[in-house]
Amino acid sequence: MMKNWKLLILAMMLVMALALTGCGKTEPAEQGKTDEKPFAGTTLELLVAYGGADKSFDAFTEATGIKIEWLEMSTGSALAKLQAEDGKTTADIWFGGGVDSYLNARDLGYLEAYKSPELSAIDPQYVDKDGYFSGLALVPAGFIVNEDILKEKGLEAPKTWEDLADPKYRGEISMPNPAISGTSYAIVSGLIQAWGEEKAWKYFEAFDSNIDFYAKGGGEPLEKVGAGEFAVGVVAITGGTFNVGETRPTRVVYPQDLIPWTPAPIAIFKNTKNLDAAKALIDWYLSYDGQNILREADARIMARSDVDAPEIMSGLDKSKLVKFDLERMGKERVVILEKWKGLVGEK
Amino acid sequence: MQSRPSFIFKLFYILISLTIIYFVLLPIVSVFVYGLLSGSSADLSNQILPQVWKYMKNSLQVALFVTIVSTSFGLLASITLWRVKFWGRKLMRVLVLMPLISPPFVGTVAFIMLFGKRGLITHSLLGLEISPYGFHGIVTMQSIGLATLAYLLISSAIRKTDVSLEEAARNLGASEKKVFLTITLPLMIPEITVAAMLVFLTSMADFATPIIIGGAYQTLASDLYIQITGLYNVQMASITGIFLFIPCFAAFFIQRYYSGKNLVYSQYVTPEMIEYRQVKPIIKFMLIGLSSLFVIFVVFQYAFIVIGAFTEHWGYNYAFTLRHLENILNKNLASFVNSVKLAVTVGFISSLLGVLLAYIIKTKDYPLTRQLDLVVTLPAATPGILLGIGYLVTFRYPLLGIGKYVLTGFEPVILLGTGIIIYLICIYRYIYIGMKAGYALMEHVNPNLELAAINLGASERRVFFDIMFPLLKPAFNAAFLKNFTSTMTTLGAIVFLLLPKNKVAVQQIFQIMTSSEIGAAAMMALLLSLLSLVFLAAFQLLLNYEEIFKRLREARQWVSSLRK
Repeated sequence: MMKNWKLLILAMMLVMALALTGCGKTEPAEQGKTDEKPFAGTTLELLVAYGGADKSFDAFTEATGIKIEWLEMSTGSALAKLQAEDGKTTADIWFGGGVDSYLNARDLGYLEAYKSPELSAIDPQYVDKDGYFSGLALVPAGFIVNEDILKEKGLEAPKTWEDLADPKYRGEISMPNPAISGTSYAIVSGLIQAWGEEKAWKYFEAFDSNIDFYAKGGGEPLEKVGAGEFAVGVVAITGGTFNVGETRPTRVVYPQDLIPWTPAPIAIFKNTKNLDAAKALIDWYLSYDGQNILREADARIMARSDVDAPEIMSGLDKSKLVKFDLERMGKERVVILEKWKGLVGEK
Repeated sequence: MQSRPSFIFKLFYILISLTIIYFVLLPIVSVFVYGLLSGSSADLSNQILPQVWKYMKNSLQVALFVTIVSTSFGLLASITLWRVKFWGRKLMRVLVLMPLISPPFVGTVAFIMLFGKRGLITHSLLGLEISPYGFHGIVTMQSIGLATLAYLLISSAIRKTDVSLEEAARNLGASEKKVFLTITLPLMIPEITVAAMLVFLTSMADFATPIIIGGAYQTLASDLYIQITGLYNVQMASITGIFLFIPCFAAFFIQRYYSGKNLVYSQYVTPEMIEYRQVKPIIKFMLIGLSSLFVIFVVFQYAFIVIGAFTEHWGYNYAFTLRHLENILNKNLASFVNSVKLAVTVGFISSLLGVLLAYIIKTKDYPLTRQLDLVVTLPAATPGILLGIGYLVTFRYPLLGIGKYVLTGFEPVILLGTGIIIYLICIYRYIYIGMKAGYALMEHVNPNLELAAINLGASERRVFFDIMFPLLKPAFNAAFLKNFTSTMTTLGAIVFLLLPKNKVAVQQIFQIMTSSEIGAAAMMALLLSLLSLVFLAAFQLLLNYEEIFKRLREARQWVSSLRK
């Protein structure tokens, strides 16, 4: 009697485990149409740092027959992983994230150069000149404000970068540590490139006195401002930034003086075993259709000039974008971060 | 008096020793070598040391404080829930274990939502504005989380203490206070010191809590995480890691010294329930009150998860919705499947290896047991993320790492990039849990019992299966509980080893939570907790089915007797 029970329970556990395994299985690859879909059945592995991008993967698989396995990972973590592995990653594609990590990975020889034919429709500013990475979209930097907290504190929303240095915002601003967040570093580097060293560093000093501590990740200010922990967050502006405003009293503010930005890059890892399929993926995401679908997945200003800016971003004045030298940004990283650390200390 | 040494035990000992050296010692040594070889020594003394020293002070302050608070709470809750009778006690015994099955950072986010600058309780209800960021935030969160770990170990001791000794003292006229201080407490010293050591080590190695709630106050472990993920400086991180080891080693040896001096044997390992009947009402009230406080924190955390999962948005719109559930069910559930598979496998294998190892080390006179014990415990003192980096830099070469020097082109044996590697790291990382649980239990077992059986002619295998194994079952049980839940909720060690095809739920929750989707993250945390509960329940049923059916039968008889 007892033995039967024990067996039954064992069987139940087994069935549960099997049932769960069943959930994880994906359907067998579609057959046919191999002429149009030369890579049907191939699986590409993606390291993703592009919020919302997963919503576009089904459309890609439908169009090309290439399946996608993806892992969301910040570009900083991904670069550390690549370095520890000596670039011998099993992933094929790096999708979105901080362009400074891409520059680093390129210089370490972890990326495969590929110039997609679609690049002709894309502003060369967004693309590595040797083709080690291409730009998917433009990511401007700006502010997110919590209206409730501003009202409670009797504050106006900041309009310019200068405003953030005003002592009335003391303790109410969250910005990521530029050593950790690619966006944050792009802001620091962008302001230096736009204002010149002297003015920029003087500004950072005043700005720093308003900050209690720097956030430990690029997504933290968004989350903290959404939760009301801070009134103002310094963020990368993507569709996700606007989405927070649907459920919480937050609003996106484009700085009126100037707007630092970064491209959201895409690259192929040198170690890939599926180079041709990887190239097909890049081509598709840079194509007119791919760019439109990706814009639907997460509203951004796409790299292709023939794809319209999403409605919610129509407020962006493109003339305010910083004239940005990406190469200079990459080269100066160590020096700037060293100086930054000397200025703010351990915050 | 060792007779008939068993070949099987010896073979097992040799094999496990070799693999432990391979999967624990080698990666840790590798990461240090990797760090030290690629840097200059001039930087070390000028720049790095002052910085390391500052973080070291922070780490020690936090860890010592948390060790005292968590261990005290664990002891207090053990006494209250197992020796004082009051209404709702059984429910509290369950609730107190709940933090084990939710990812630790979810608790921290819940804490910020409830007690932060604009927290529901501190701001909306009490009108306060308190910054949770800093030393006090880290200490609070770690204390709550680790008190459960301490409780788990100490409560297993209080259930196993020799009741007859206490009864004898009472019969001789000793007061409850004296019984507790001179008998019960000393009997529990092994578990209390083990608990304190594990709490200390876990606190030292925890990087997630300071990252989320530390603000400008960072520790060695969190600095290490930032060094790796933010500054891409694996070398600096390795050096920081070396300094993180020093206090952890110290804790390890202090515990061993103390516990070794206070061995008390009890003949009867019995789960018999006893109550403190003559406790003063005021003390009883205080015990229950303090334990309740702890339980309330836990309940708050789950309230946050459940409410967050089923409402539009925490803090702003509490309208009921199934939106988050649908979102997750529509997505690929593979990450949950991967989590369960990993946790069940690691729970069984790691706990079994650990308990077996404890048995062998304590009863056989094999060489180098002390050294092996030290190596097995190393992962406790190693931040998961550092061990993960160690696996990366070691196993990227063929032939499980050694192929760096030979066989460089031979691909199929490169562990990195296979799904097995996250299983290996979790199994070897947690063996010490089963081993410590085994030790703690065996310190209550009189070795004469075994000798007696051997003298009566029992074979070594028979001694193990008929005498030691039943006695060690609670240790396996406890280790499984801990290992299963740790693996379900672990992130640091595997974060760099995950592949797109074997991503786990915790990693996704962490990503979603840091991108501000509280509802979706809460729903995933809830599902993860429920999955853990279902599997743990099934496991408990499997282990204790006899007792459970006995009770069911009794209940049925009781019901039918009522009918008559």
